[in-house]
Amino acid sequence: MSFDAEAFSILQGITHWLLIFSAVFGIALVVAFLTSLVAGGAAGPGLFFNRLSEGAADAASTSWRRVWALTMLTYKEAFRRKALLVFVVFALLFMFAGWFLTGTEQAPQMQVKVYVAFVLTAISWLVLPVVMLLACWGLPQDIQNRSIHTVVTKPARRSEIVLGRMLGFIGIGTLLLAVMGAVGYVWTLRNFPAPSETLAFDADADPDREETYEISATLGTRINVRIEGPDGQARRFVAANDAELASLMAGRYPAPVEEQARELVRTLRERNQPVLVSRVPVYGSISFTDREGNPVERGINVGDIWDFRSYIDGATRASAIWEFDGISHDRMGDALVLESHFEAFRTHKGKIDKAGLEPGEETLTCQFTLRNDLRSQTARALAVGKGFTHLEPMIRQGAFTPVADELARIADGLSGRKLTLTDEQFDDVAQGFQDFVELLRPFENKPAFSGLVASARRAAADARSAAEEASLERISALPSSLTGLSQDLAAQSRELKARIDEQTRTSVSKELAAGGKFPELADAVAAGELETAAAQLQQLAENLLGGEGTVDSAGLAPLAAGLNKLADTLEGMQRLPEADKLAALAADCASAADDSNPQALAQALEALAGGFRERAAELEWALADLNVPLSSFQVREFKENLTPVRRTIVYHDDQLNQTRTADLYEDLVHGDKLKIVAQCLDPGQLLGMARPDLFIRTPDRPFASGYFKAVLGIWLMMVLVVLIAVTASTFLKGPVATLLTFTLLILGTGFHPFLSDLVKGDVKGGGVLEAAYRIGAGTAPTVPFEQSTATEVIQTSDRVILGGLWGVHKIVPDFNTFRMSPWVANGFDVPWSTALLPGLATTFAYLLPCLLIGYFALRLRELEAK
Amino acid sequence: MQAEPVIQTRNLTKVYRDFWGRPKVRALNSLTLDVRPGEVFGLLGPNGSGKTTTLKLLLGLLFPTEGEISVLGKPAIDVGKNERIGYLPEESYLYRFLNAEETLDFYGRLFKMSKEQRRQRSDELIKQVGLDGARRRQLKEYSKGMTRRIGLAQALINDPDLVLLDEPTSGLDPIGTREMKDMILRLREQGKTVVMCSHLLADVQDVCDRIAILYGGELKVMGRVEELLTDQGETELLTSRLSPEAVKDVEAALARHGATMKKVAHPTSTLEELFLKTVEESKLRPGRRYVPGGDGEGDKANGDRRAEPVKAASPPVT
Ligand SMILES: Nc1ncnc2c1ncn2[C@@H]1O[C@H](COP(=O)(O)OP(=O)(O)OP(=O)(O)O)[C@@H](O)[C@H]1O
Ligand SMILES: [Mg+2]
Repeated sequence: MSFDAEAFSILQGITHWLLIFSAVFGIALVVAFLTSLVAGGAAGPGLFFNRLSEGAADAASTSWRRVWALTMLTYKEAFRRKALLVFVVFALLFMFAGWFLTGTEQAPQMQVKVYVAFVLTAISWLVLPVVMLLACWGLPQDIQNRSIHTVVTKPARRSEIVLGRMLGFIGIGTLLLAVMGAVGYVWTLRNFPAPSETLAFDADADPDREETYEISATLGTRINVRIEGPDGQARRFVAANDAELASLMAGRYPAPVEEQARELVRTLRERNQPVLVSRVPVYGSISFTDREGNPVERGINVGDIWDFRSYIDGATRASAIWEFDGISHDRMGDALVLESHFEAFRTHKGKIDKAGLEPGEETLTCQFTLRNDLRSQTARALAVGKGFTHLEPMIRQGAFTPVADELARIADGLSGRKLTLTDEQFDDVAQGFQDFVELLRPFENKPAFSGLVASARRAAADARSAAEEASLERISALPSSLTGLSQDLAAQSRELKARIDEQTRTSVSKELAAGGKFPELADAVAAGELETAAAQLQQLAENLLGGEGTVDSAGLAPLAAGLNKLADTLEGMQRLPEADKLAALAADCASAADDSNPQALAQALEALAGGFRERAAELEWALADLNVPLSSFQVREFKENLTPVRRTIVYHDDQLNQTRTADLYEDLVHGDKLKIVAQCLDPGQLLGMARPDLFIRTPDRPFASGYFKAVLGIWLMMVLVVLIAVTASTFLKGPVATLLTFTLLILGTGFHPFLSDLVKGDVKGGGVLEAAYRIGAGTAPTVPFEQSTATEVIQTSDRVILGGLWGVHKIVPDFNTFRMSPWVANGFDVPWSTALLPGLATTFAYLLPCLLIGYFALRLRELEAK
Repeated sequence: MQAEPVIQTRNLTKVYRDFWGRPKVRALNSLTLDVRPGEVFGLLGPNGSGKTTTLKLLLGLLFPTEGEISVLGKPAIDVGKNERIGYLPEESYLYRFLNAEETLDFYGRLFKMSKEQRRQRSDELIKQVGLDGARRRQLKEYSKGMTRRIGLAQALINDPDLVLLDEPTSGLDPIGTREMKDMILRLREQGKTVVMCSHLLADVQDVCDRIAILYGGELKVMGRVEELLTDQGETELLTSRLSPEAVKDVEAALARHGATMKKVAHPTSTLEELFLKTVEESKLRPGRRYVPGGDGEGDKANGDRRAEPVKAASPPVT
C-alpha cells in the first residue's frame, strides 16, 4: 500500500459519476419502456410515464417526519431483537486480545502497528456483518410477515420506507462504531501510555533545609508537566513545545526547579519517542539524474523484480530530485523535518560501526541539497517554443542582455514577416511566457533596501555623468549624493554584510579599483567592511568638496561602474521589485502568441526585450541558481531517518568556496515550491528511492486525529453496505440479499484491483477466450495472435466480454477506498484528499442510485410474501 | 341525486401468477361494485372467494390484472388517499416488538399528527378497545383477541373517512364482538363509510346496510340487506300468538283470495339462508354472476336485485 496515492479530484469524480449514472439510468429507462410496451401493449407507454411521474411526485412529497418514524422503528427493532449483543463479543475479544498480540521485545512502532491494525480490523469485522445482516433481513421480514401492509396503507411513501430503513440501520451502525471506536481508542492508549516520569527535587542547596518539589512530566502530543511544591500546592502546565513550556513556567518556581523540569522533558524525549502520533506527510514528485547529472526518467535498476524503487550511484552526480508543493511558513512553521526511508544496495560491505550507528549497520551516507534553480527553470520556461530554443543556454548563463537582443531580433523578424510561426509554435511560445509569469509571481515587492538602492543609483548616475560630461555642475552634485549613500550604507552595513556574498563584493571592489584611484574603498568593500567603505565614501565626498582630491573623468568612470554594480546587487536584495511589471510584459507575449498574431507578438516581445535589457542585472541576481547542501547523514535502513531543516541555513558553497547563509522561505522556497536533491556519498554503494520515500513531515497531529478518521472510513463503508443491503432487500429475500451484498463486498474488495488491471488491458495474453484458445493451442501469451476469421471472432467476443467487465468494474464499488487503517497503523494521519474524500465520494455516489432502485423495486412489486 | 361513490370498481379481475409469470389462480373475476358514502358494506363469501383480494386491490397492495378502481375519487395506487383510510388486515400484522402505545404513536407519526394529538388519540383508542391495562406490554405477549383490538385501534388512529375491515370479529370474544359491532355502528353514525368482510352472518346482518356475496371470485348477490331477504312472491305475516281456530279462519280467508298457507312459523335469521342458498346455487350453476343494472351505475334507487329470483328451496328453519 502506498501512502501517497493520487489526490482525488472531486470534479473529475462528479463527471465520471454523471457519465456512468446517466448511462445506466438511460439503459434502465429504455429497458423499462420496452418492457412496458411488450407487457402493456398500447397502454404500456402511458403506464410507464405514469409510474415515472408518480415517482417524481412521491419524491417531492417526502416527509421527514415519516422517514424519522420509520428510522426509529428500525432502530427499536434492532434494539429489542438484541442485535447489540455484538458488544459482548467485542468486549470479550478485547479482554483476551492483549495476550495474543505482540511481545514487548518488538520495536514500539511495530507493536503499535499490530495493535492498531487489530483494533480497526476487529471493529470493522464486528460492525459490518451485524449491520449487513440486519439491513438484508429487515425489509424482507417486514414483507414476509406483512407488517409492511399496515405501513404502506398509511400515507407512507415507498421511498420513505427505503430511506427510513437505511437511516435506521446507519444509525445502529453509527452507535456500534461510536462505542467500539471509543473503547478501541482507550484500549490502545492504555497499551501505549505516553512516556512519563516523576522525580523529587530538592531545590535548596543547604543540606539542612529541605525544600522538595515533586516534578512529573508526560510526553503526549503535547507536553504535560506537573509540579508540586513543598507546600503541597500543585500546578499543571500543558504546552505544545519546549519554548511554550518555558514561557508558561517562567517565574512561577525557583530557577533550578524550572530548569529541572525542562531537563526532565528533554531526557524523557531522548529516551522515548512518542509512538502514538499522526504524522502529516507532504509528498513531492520525483525525478532522477544519471551519473553525469543528466535528467533521466528513472535511476538504476539493480535487478530487483519489484521495480518500485530505482537506485542512484554513490559518489557520482546521480541524484534523485523531489519537488514539493504547498510549502509555506504558515503551514510548516520555522523548521522543516524531512523524513526519509531509503533502501541500500551494496557492492561492498562498507565501513562498519561508525559512531552513532548501532552495531551491524554499515555506513551509507546520504546528502540532501536544497535547490532553487530559478534560472534553469526560466530558461526552460522560455525555451519551449521551437523558435526560442537557442535562448535557453543564454538564460542559463544569466546573460539577459543578449536574451533581450535575441527577443528583439525575433520581434523584428515577426513584424517584417521574415519569420513565421505555426499555430503549434504560437501555442508553445504562449505557454513559455505563461510559465515565466508564474515564475515571477513570488517576487512581489519586498522593499527592504529601496532607499539605499535609490541613493546608490543617484551617486552612480552623478559619478557617471560627471565622468562623461566632465561638467563642473555635476561634479559638485557628486559629493552630496556620496554623502547620502555613505550614510545609508553605514546604517545598514551589518545586515548587508551578512547578505552580500564575497563574490559580489569582489566584483564591486574590482570595478572600484579599476581606475586605481580608490584602492582603500575597493579593499573595504572586498573585505565586506561596509562601514569603512562608507567612511571612505564620506572622505571622498569631503575631498571633492574641499577640492583637495583631483578627480578626473578616468577616475570617476570606474567609481560609477562600481557604484552601479553595488546598486544592482542591492536591488537584487529585493528580489526583483516590480516583478509584476515584467510579468505583465511576459503575459502580453503569451496572449499575443495565443492569438497567433505575429504583429502583436512582435510588439510584446520588443517590450519584454526592453524590460530584460533594462533589468538584466537584477534578473541575473534574482534568478540565480542556489544549491544549499544540508549536513549529510547515515542512512538507517528499515527505519525512518529524520533530517531537520532550520529556517536560516549556514552552508559552504563549494563553487565559491565560502560560507554563506540562506533563508529557507526567502531564498529556497520559490512560490510554494521546494526542491530537494538526494545523493549518495559513498562510492560503490547505491541508494534506492521512490517517490514516497522522502516526505516533509509537518507538525504531528494527535493520534486521535488519524484513528478517528480511520473509524470514519469504516463508517463510510458501513453506510455503503447498508445502502446496498437495503436496496437488495427491496427485491430479494433475506438470504439472497445477504448473498448479493456479500458478493459485492468480496468483488469490491478482492477483485477490484484485478478487474482494474483487466479492463485497462494490463493482463498479458489477451481476453478470456483468447487465453483459452492459447492454452488449447499451446502458444505463449507473448506470441502475437495470428490473424484469421476465427481469431477475429475470438478477439471481438473478448472485447465484448471486456466491455461487460468494464461495466462491472465501474458499477461495483471499490471497498478498498475505505481502508484507512494502514495509515494509522503506520503512524500517519489519514489524509483528506487521498483517503477520506474518495471514501466520501464513493459512498455518496451510491446514495441516489440505491434510493432509486429501492424505491422502484418496492413500488413496482406487490408486497405479498412469495 | 346520489352522492359520488366512495369506492368504485369496474370489471376488476385479479389473477395471481407464480414466479415465472404463469397464471395460477383467478382470485377475482370481473367485479363491478360501488360503495356509497356513509354506508356499511359487507363482503361475504366462502373461504378463498376473493374478499381479502378485493380489499387489497382497493388499498393498492395488489395490482389489478384488469379493470379499474377508484377509491375516494383516486386510483388505488395513489398513496395520498391513505390519509383518509383506515385498514384492519385479516390478521393483525403489527410490529411485535412495540407496545400498544408505541404502536399507535408510530402509526400516528405516519399521518400529519402532532405529538399532543397522537398522545390524546392513542390514549382514547386504547381505552376504547379495552387495552388500558396492557398498554405498556409488547405485542408479542398479546392474545389473539388483544392483537385484534390493537389492530382496530391502529386502523382508526387517523380518524378515517373510509374504514376497511377484514374479518373484524375473528378471534374476539362475544363481548368483544358486541363492542366491535357497536363501534361499526358508531362509525356509521359519524358518517363514515365502512367496508367489512366476514363469515359471521349474524354480525353482518346486524350492522350492514348492503352486502355483496362473492363465490369463486365472482359477484353473486348484491343489495340492501332487508330487500335481499324479502321474497316478493311470498308474504310473511307476523301476529300475536294465534289459536288453532284463528289459524283455520285465516286459512279460509286466504283461500277466498286464491292463496294458500305454506307454512306458519316464527321469523328466522334468513341471511344465513340466503348465504347458503347462494353458495348452493353457485355450485349448481357456475358461471352466472351478478351484473349491476344496464345503465352502468348498476343501482336503482330502491336497491339491487339478486342474480335471479331464487325460490325457497329448503324448508324453513325453526
Ligand atoms: N398471494 C397469493 N398468491 C397466490 N394465490 C393467492 C394469494 N393470495 C390469495 N390467493 C388465492 O386467491 C383466492 C382468493 O383468496 P382471498 O384471500 O382473497 O380469499 P378470502 O375470500 O379472503 O378467503 P378467507 O375467507 O379464507 O379469508 C384464493 O384461492 C387464494 O388461494
Ligand atoms: Mg380473507
